[in-house]
Amino acid sequence: MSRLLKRILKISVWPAILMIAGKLLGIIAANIVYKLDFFIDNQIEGIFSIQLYYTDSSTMVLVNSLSNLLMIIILAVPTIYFIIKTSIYQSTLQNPRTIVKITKLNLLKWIAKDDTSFLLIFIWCSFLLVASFIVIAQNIQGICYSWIGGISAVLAIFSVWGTIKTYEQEIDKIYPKEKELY
Amino acid sequence: MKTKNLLPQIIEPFAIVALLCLFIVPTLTVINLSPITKEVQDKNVLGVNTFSSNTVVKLVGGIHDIIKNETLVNSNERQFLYKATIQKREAEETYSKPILKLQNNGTFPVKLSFFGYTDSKTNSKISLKIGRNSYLLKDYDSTLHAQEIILEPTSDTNLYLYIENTNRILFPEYFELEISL
Repeated sequence: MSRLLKRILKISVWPAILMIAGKLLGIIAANIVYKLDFFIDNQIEGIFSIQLYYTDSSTMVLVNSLSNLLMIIILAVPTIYFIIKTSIYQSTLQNPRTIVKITKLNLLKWIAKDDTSFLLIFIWCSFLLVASFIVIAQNIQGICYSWIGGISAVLAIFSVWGTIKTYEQEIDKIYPKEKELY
Repeated sequence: MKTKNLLPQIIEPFAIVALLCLFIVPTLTVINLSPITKEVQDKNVLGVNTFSSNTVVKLVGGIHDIIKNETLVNSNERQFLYKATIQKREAEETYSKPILKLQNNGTFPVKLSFFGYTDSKTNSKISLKIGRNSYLLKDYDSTLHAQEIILEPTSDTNLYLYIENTNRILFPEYFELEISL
């Protein structure tokens, strides 16, 4: 088995778990905070037989929206963290002024540890994109608040842009002179 | 002679499937965890919902010169009984009062059936009114008519009792209105 595949599998486990956990925690939190009544029922149709029910549509939209928001935040925070960290790290390699700033802020130890790779950012960004697509689709269906759909879209666009930037920086490491051609 | 280890090559397709599962399983789980309303299960073939938990029937109340002693009894989940006393009244007069507030908090239309009657045969015409629409319950010749109203999703409306009489009525009448969901 290739090292790349092993590494992808290893990295993918955490965002996959956090995606489900975020959604589940959001549902539980909304039920506790708003003291909502829900019930679980079996259904013949679909892939899964268990379905969560609410008696009125407004409650359903509220729970769905809050759980979607928590899922998106849980996936977006690490993705943005990795993007920012890589971007600062790359900047320190090229710009001495950044090193001075980082040293003043006592972040040198944090930034010097290059444990963030393009692959890691790419996989986290992929999960964030999948989650954002689900939220936007539910927003179009009218079962999620539009502002949550908007936040998801903005975060997805930002993370894609960050991933592309990281890719460019990685390419610059391999072909440093290529940068001058563009 | 050194033999080539084929195990990593055999495992590789399974690893790709596992990787795909890592993306597909959370996606399907999140979609399935999205809650739905129970109403969807109770939608009948005509597209009119008969699930009554989202339908609220409330007494408006208040003071009226002719329509008095109003009560609303919820006999079971799907049936209500509205009772009132219609006081003695003058000829060629019309009287109206908002009697019930109807609410549909669900996402599907709800059908409400009405059947109203009095304990005496007077030359009174009794009808229900919602906005400009009139629903005749009792005609001048005391013929009774059952009526049906479709309540649109996430809507509320006031139901008016409308009484017209040609002759002077010298005694109070007891009026009953059966409401079925």
